[in-house]
Amino acid sequence: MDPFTQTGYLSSPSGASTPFEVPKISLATPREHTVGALRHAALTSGFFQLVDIETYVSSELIVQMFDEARRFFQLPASEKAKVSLWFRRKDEVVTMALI
Amino acid sequence: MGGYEGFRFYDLTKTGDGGKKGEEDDGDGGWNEGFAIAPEWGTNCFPKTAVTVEDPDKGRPSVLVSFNPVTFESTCKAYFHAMQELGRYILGVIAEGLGIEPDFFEGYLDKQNSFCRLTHYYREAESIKGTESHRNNPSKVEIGAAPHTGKVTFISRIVLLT
Repeated sequence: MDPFTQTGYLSSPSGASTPFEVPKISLATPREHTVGALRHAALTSGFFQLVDIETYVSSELIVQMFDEARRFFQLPASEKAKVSLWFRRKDEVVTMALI
Repeated sequence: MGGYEGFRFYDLTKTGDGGKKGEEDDGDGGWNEGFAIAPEWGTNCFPKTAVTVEDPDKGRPSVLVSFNPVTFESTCKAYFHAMQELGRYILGVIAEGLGIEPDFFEGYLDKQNSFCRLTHYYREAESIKGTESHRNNPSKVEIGAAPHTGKVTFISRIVLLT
């Protein structure tokens, strides 16, 4: 099975739930097809998954971003604090900082 | 405005006017930390120091992991701009599907209105215990999603084949 296939459940007011597959929207198809498919997904399941997005963002870039993110989050708290978005006062988030 | 957002609990139970003065009103979600990528708002948000640390991730063999600020910054920027272009295309497609001008949402993509956040969720609720954030919110143990707001949110994911 395609590891990226997502399933979900649609709940009705009666409490019944129906399994469904999250629709895939391919960006490798002509634009007018994408428009129709996305509109249909939005009006039915309410969810969609974009596939064939290589034109915009490559798999390599996504994997690389995850890898860099993992390395960043593993830094000691003191290192991460140097680029903190928040100033803390009395353990409370008070304001944004650092432009 | 970019940078590191410390480990804390995002409370979805707040409704918009809640929260103490000066405190942002976050959505629900659970414990996580994040890094906001916002290259168009300044450059100080990126780390400058190369560091090699022991992998603290529980459940793995202990290994040394290096952090390179140069590749981190360049990857963040490349990823941000790629996702922004993807957003531009999809918002155009959505506009067209709604029967409005395809460039209707264009203005929303200027001046860093688009936002990219790397989010780190903890593998186990156990790992939050003992932290300062947890001491302030001892009853919160959920691990979940960060708040997602705005016109359109893309969630990237990869499948680790190990």
